[in-house]
Amino acid sequence: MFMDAIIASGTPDKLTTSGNSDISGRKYRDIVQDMWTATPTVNMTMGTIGALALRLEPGAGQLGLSVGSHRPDPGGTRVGLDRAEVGQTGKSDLAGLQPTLGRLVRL
Amino acid sequence: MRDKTLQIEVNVAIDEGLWALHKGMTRFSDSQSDKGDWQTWSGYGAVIAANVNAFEVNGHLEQGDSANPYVETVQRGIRRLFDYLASTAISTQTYPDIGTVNPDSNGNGQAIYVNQISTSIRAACSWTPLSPVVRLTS
Repeated sequence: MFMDAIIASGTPDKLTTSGNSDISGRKYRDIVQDMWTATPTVNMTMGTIGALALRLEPGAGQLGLSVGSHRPDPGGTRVGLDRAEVGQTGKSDLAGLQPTLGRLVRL
Repeated sequence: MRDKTLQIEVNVAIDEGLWALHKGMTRFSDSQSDKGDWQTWSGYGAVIAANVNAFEVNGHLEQGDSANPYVETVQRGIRRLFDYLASTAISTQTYPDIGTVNPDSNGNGQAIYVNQISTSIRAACSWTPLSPVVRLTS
């Protein structure tokens, strides 16, 4: 999400004017690239660096936040809604679950 | 006056949402620059990122016309974003099923990450097979 916001600025060569000494004064594009560098590490060592991966799985009857890895079925910790909660909304599409997802994201 | 249509209703919702974000921002200045966030709504930096992105994808950019009040909001928000980042040295990594790789795509030995995560989520993030489902919903 951070990378999305920086990329959407449309100014890859702009220099940062905030952040700590490792961040300030660097190009937006370099910040994003170093964040991307961290991404595979984050996927595998959540406890060390920390991040939260979002994965939506409506087809599997489970819709929610998946923590641990972007790889299919990693066996990582899963935070989300189970089939019963999906059923409570009366809908199986994403739009119908947006209010519930909104509560999740705010948490 | 135009007829009420879904597209118009969508646009009204977007306008009202952006206006709420604009009004809801907490503005402040520190030794670096003028910044803003939504700490009174949520302390998570990702909220800033999401909100800034909402303005940007609707055409309100950091480099935009200063007559546009949302431009200042985006400027403050994106400056605040960088406060949440930290760097760490990175070298070759060994992953299960993948092996040893060097993720340092630009060769500067640095990786940047969001230096914020709650204790409860950090605890849930310990990567172990067969870890239990953790429910965040009430």
